[in-house]
Amino acid sequence: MKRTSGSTLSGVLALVLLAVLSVSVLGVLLGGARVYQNLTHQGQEDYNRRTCLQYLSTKLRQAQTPDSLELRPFGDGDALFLLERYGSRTFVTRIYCHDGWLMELFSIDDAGFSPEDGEKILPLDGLRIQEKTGIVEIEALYQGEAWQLCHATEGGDP
Amino acid sequence: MKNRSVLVLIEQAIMILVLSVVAAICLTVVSEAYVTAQNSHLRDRSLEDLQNAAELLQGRDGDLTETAALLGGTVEENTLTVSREGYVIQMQIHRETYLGKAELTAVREGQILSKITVCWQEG
Repeated sequence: MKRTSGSTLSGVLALVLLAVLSVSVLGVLLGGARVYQNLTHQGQEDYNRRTCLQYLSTKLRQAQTPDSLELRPFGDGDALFLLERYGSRTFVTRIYCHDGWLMELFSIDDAGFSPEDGEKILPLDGLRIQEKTGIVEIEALYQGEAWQLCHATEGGDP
Repeated sequence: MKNRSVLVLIEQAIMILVLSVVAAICLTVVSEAYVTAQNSHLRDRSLEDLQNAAELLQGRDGDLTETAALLGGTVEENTLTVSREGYVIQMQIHRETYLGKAELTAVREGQILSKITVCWQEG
Protein backbone atom coordinates (compact mmCIF):
# COMPACT_ATOMS: atom_id res chain seq x y z
CA MET A 1 0.00 0.00 0.00
CA LYS A 2 2.86 2.33 0.93
CA ARG A 3 4.62 1.53 -2.36
CA THR A 4 1.46 2.41 -4.33
CA SER A 5 0.95 5.80 -2.65
CA GLY A 6 4.67 6.61 -3.08
CA SER A 7 4.61 5.91 -6.81
CA THR A 8 1.34 7.86 -7.18
CA LEU A 9 3.02 10.88 -5.53
CA SER A 10 5.99 10.57 -7.87
CA GLY A 11 3.62 10.38 -10.83
CA VAL A 12 1.75 13.50 -9.67
CA LEU A 13 5.04 15.33 -9.12
CA ALA A 14 6.14 14.37 -12.62
CA LEU A 15 2.86 15.69 -14.02
CA VAL A 16 3.23 18.95 -12.05
CA LEU A 17 6.77 19.37 -13.37
CA LEU A 18 5.51 18.70 -16.89
CA ALA A 19 2.81 21.36 -16.40
CA VAL A 20 5.41 23.86 -15.10
CA LEU A 21 7.60 23.10 -18.10
CA SER A 22 4.71 23.56 -20.54
CA VAL A 23 3.64 26.85 -18.95
CA SER A 24 7.23 28.12 -18.98
CA VAL A 25 7.72 27.17 -22.64
CA LEU A 26 4.42 28.83 -23.55
CA GLY A 27 5.29 31.95 -21.52
CA VAL A 28 8.70 32.35 -23.16
CA LEU A 29 7.24 31.77 -26.64
CA LEU A 30 4.33 34.19 -26.16
CA GLY A 31 6.53 36.85 -24.51
CA GLY A 32 9.13 36.58 -27.26
CA ALA A 33 6.48 36.71 -29.98
CA ARG A 34 4.88 39.82 -28.45
CA VAL A 35 8.20 41.66 -28.16
CA TYR A 36 9.09 40.66 -31.74
CA GLN A 37 5.67 41.89 -32.94
CA ASN A 38 6.18 45.24 -31.17
CA LEU A 39 9.66 45.63 -32.63
CA THR A 40 8.43 44.84 -36.15
CA HIS A 41 5.51 47.24 -35.79
CA GLN A 42 7.77 50.02 -34.56
CA GLY A 43 10.30 49.30 -37.32
CA GLN A 44 7.56 49.50 -39.95
CA GLU A 45 6.21 52.72 -38.45
CA ASP A 46 9.70 54.27 -38.40
CA TYR A 47 10.25 53.17 -42.00
CA ASN A 48 6.95 54.76 -43.15
CA ARG A 49 7.68 57.95 -41.26
CA ARG A 50 11.27 58.27 -42.51
CA THR A 51 10.40 57.43 -46.13
CA CYS A 52 7.46 59.81 -46.23
CA LEU A 53 9.36 62.77 -44.71
CA GLN A 54 12.47 62.15 -46.85
CA TYR A 55 10.33 61.92 -49.99
CA LEU A 56 8.61 65.24 -49.19
CA SER A 57 11.90 66.86 -48.19
CA THR A 58 13.64 65.75 -51.40
CA LYS A 59 10.76 66.98 -53.55
CA LEU A 60 10.84 70.37 -51.81
CA ARG A 61 14.60 70.67 -52.31
CA GLN A 62 14.15 69.93 -56.01
CA ALA A 63 12.04 73.08 -56.40
CA GLN A 64 14.06 75.30 -58.74
CA THR A 65 13.28 78.59 -56.94
CA PRO A 66 11.08 79.63 -53.99
CA ASP A 67 8.57 80.92 -56.59
CA SER A 68 8.27 77.49 -58.15
CA LEU A 69 6.61 76.13 -55.01
CA GLU A 70 2.88 76.74 -54.53
CA LEU A 71 0.36 75.50 -51.99
CA ARG A 72 -3.10 74.79 -53.39
CA PRO A 73 -5.98 72.50 -52.45
CA PHE A 74 -6.05 69.24 -54.44
CA GLY A 75 -7.20 65.71 -53.63
CA ASP A 76 -8.36 65.34 -50.01
CA GLY A 77 -6.94 68.66 -48.80
CA ASP A 78 -3.71 70.66 -48.99
CA ALA A 79 -1.28 69.88 -51.79
CA LEU A 80 2.20 70.90 -52.90
CA PHE A 81 2.54 72.21 -56.45
CA LEU A 82 6.10 72.23 -57.80
CA LEU A 83 6.27 74.26 -60.99
CA GLU A 84 8.90 73.71 -63.68
CA ARG A 85 9.23 75.82 -66.80
CA TYR A 86 10.48 74.23 -69.99
CA GLY A 87 10.54 76.82 -72.79
CA SER A 88 7.18 78.54 -72.85
CA ARG A 89 5.31 75.75 -71.09
CA THR A 90 4.83 75.21 -67.38
CA PHE A 91 4.69 71.71 -65.95
CA VAL A 92 3.58 70.92 -62.45
CA THR A 93 4.24 68.09 -60.01
CA ARG A 94 1.33 67.81 -57.59
CA ILE A 95 1.95 66.05 -54.28
CA TYR A 96 -1.24 65.40 -52.36
CA CYS A 97 -3.27 62.87 -50.39
CA HIS A 98 -6.18 60.99 -51.87
CA ASP A 99 -8.12 57.99 -50.64
CA GLY A 100 -5.58 57.06 -47.93
CA TRP A 101 -2.51 57.45 -50.16
CA LEU A 102 0.21 60.02 -50.68
CA MET A 103 0.14 60.58 -54.43
CA GLU A 104 2.11 62.35 -57.14
CA LEU A 105 0.83 63.66 -60.44
CA PHE A 106 3.04 65.30 -63.09
CA SER A 107 1.40 67.12 -65.98
CA ILE A 108 1.04 70.42 -67.83
CA ASP A 109 -0.21 73.08 -65.40
CA ASP A 110 -3.67 73.55 -66.88
CA ALA A 111 -4.34 69.89 -67.75
CA GLY A 112 -7.66 68.73 -66.38
CA PHE A 113 -6.50 65.72 -64.38
CA SER A 114 -8.34 64.54 -61.28
CA PRO A 115 -6.73 63.30 -58.01
CA GLU A 116 -7.25 59.60 -58.81
CA ASP A 117 -5.05 59.96 -61.93
CA GLY A 118 -1.89 60.27 -59.81
CA GLU A 119 0.68 57.64 -58.85
CA LYS A 120 0.40 56.07 -55.40
CA ILE A 121 3.55 56.62 -53.33
CA LEU A 122 2.87 55.62 -49.72
CA PRO A 123 -0.14 55.05 -47.46
CA LEU A 124 -0.97 58.36 -45.74
CA ASP A 125 -4.18 59.78 -44.23
CA GLY A 126 -3.67 63.47 -44.96
CA LEU A 127 -1.40 66.47 -45.43
CA ARG A 128 -1.61 69.80 -43.63
CA ILE A 129 0.57 72.46 -45.20
CA GLN A 130 1.08 76.08 -44.19
CA GLU A 131 3.55 78.72 -45.25
CA LYS A 132 5.06 81.22 -42.84
CA THR A 133 7.72 83.78 -43.72
CA GLY A 134 10.53 81.80 -45.31
CA ILE A 135 9.28 78.45 -43.97
CA VAL A 136 6.93 75.78 -45.30
CA GLU A 137 5.54 73.60 -42.51
CA ILE A 138 4.08 70.22 -43.45
CA GLU A 139 2.25 67.82 -41.20
CA ALA A 140 1.80 64.32 -42.59
CA LEU A 141 -1.06 62.52 -40.84
CA TYR A 142 -0.96 58.75 -40.48
CA GLN A 143 -2.91 56.51 -38.08
CA GLY A 144 -3.54 59.28 -35.57
CA GLU A 145 0.05 60.58 -35.64
CA ALA A 146 1.27 63.84 -37.14
CA TRP A 147 4.79 63.82 -38.61
CA GLN A 148 6.27 67.29 -38.95
CA LEU A 149 8.56 68.61 -41.65
CA CYS A 150 9.94 72.14 -41.97
CA HIS A 151 11.52 73.51 -45.14
CA ALA A 152 13.28 76.85 -45.50
CA THR A 153 12.31 78.46 -48.80
CA GLU A 154 14.97 81.17 -48.33
CA GLY A 155 18.64 80.94 -47.28
CA GLY A 156 21.37 78.41 -48.18
CA ASP A 157 21.40 74.65 -48.00
CA PRO A 158 22.02 72.88 -44.69
CA MET B 1 8.47 1.10 -10.77
CA LYS B 2 9.85 3.57 -8.22
CA ASN B 3 13.13 3.80 -10.14
CA ARG B 4 11.22 4.64 -13.33
CA SER B 5 9.37 7.51 -11.61
CA VAL B 6 12.62 8.88 -10.24
CA LEU B 7 14.14 8.72 -13.69
CA VAL B 8 11.16 10.62 -15.15
CA LEU B 9 11.53 13.24 -12.42
CA ILE B 10 15.25 13.63 -13.09
CA GLU B 11 14.59 13.91 -16.83
CA GLN B 12 12.00 16.62 -16.28
CA ALA B 13 14.21 18.50 -13.85
CA ILE B 14 16.98 18.51 -16.46
CA MET B 15 14.50 19.71 -19.09
CA ILE B 16 13.42 22.58 -16.84
CA LEU B 17 17.05 23.46 -16.19
CA VAL B 18 17.86 23.51 -19.91
CA LEU B 19 14.71 25.52 -20.57
CA SER B 20 15.67 28.04 -17.89
CA VAL B 21 19.10 28.54 -19.44
CA VAL B 22 17.66 28.87 -22.97
CA ALA B 23 14.91 31.22 -21.71
CA ALA B 24 17.49 33.40 -19.96
CA ILE B 25 19.55 33.63 -23.18
CA CYS B 26 16.42 34.37 -25.26
CA LEU B 27 15.22 37.06 -22.86
CA THR B 28 18.65 38.71 -22.87
CA VAL B 29 18.71 38.75 -26.68
CA VAL B 30 15.12 40.05 -26.88
CA SER B 31 15.73 42.78 -24.30
CA GLU B 32 18.92 43.85 -26.12
CA ALA B 33 16.97 43.96 -29.39
CA TYR B 34 14.32 46.09 -27.69
CA VAL B 35 16.90 48.54 -26.31
CA THR B 36 18.63 48.75 -29.71
CA ALA B 37 15.28 49.37 -31.44
CA GLN B 38 14.38 52.08 -28.91
CA ASN B 39 17.76 53.79 -29.41
CA SER B 40 17.40 53.61 -33.16
CA HIS B 41 13.85 55.01 -32.90
CA LEU B 42 15.06 57.91 -30.73
CA ARG B 43 18.00 58.59 -33.09
CA ASP B 44 15.60 58.75 -36.06
CA ARG B 45 13.29 61.15 -34.23
CA SER B 46 16.17 63.30 -33.04
CA LEU B 47 17.59 63.53 -36.59
CA GLU B 48 14.19 64.63 -37.91
CA ASP B 49 13.99 67.24 -35.15
CA LEU B 50 17.52 68.45 -35.89
CA GLN B 51 16.72 68.75 -39.61
CA ASN B 52 13.55 70.71 -38.86
CA ALA B 53 15.41 72.94 -36.39
CA ALA B 54 18.16 73.52 -38.98
CA GLU B 55 15.56 74.51 -41.59
CA LEU B 56 13.87 76.89 -39.13
CA LEU B 57 17.20 78.48 -38.18
CA GLN B 58 18.10 78.88 -41.83
CA GLY B 59 14.68 80.32 -42.65
CA ARG B 60 15.25 82.91 -39.89
CA ASP B 61 18.77 83.74 -41.18
CA GLY B 62 20.41 82.40 -38.04
CA ASP B 63 18.29 84.42 -35.60
CA LEU B 64 18.35 82.29 -32.44
CA THR B 65 15.64 84.26 -30.63
CA GLU B 66 13.13 83.84 -33.46
CA THR B 67 14.06 80.17 -33.83
CA ALA B 68 13.61 79.69 -30.07
CA ALA B 69 10.15 81.24 -30.29
CA LEU B 70 9.21 78.79 -33.06
CA LEU B 71 10.69 75.72 -31.36
CA GLY B 72 9.73 76.66 -27.80
CA GLY B 73 13.26 76.72 -26.36
CA THR B 74 15.51 78.98 -24.31
CA VAL B 75 18.52 81.01 -25.46
CA GLU B 76 21.66 81.60 -23.41
CA GLU B 77 24.48 83.53 -25.10
CA ASN B 78 25.01 81.69 -28.42
CA THR B 79 23.24 78.48 -27.46
CA LEU B 80 19.62 77.49 -27.88
CA THR B 81 18.28 74.57 -25.83
CA VAL B 82 15.03 72.78 -26.64
CA SER B 83 13.59 69.89 -24.62
CA ARG B 84 12.01 67.04 -26.53
CA GLU B 85 10.55 63.74 -25.31
CA GLY B 86 13.56 61.60 -24.38
CA TYR B 87 16.34 64.04 -25.38
CA VAL B 88 17.47 67.67 -25.48
CA ILE B 89 18.41 69.62 -28.59
CA GLN B 90 21.31 72.07 -28.32
CA MET B 91 22.02 74.56 -31.05
CA GLN B 92 25.28 76.50 -30.88
CA ILE B 93 26.06 79.32 -33.29
CA HIS B 94 29.48 80.48 -34.50
CA ARG B 95 29.68 83.55 -36.69
CA GLU B 96 32.55 84.24 -39.04
CA THR B 97 32.91 86.85 -41.77
CA TYR B 98 30.19 86.18 -44.33
CA LEU B 99 29.52 82.75 -42.84
CA GLY B 100 27.08 81.67 -40.17
CA LYS B 101 27.50 78.20 -38.78
CA ALA B 102 25.45 76.26 -36.25
CA GLU B 103 26.13 72.92 -34.65
CA LEU B 104 22.96 71.08 -33.70
CA THR B 105 23.21 68.22 -31.25
CA ALA B 106 20.62 65.91 -29.72
CA VAL B 107 21.76 64.78 -26.27
CA ARG B 108 20.29 62.02 -24.11
CA GLU B 109 21.56 61.44 -20.59
CA GLY B 110 24.87 63.13 -21.42
CA GLN B 111 25.41 61.10 -24.60
CA ILE B 112 25.18 62.45 -28.14
CA LEU B 113 22.33 60.80 -30.07
CA SER B 114 22.86 62.69 -33.32
CA LYS B 115 24.63 65.77 -34.61
CA ILE B 116 24.44 67.92 -37.75
CA THR B 117 26.04 71.17 -38.88
CA VAL B 118 24.25 73.89 -40.84
CA CYS B 119 25.88 76.85 -42.61
CA TRP B 120 24.50 79.95 -44.28
CA GLN B 121 25.84 83.06 -45.93
CA GLU B 122 25.76 86.29 -43.96
CA GLY B 123 26.06 89.96 -44.79
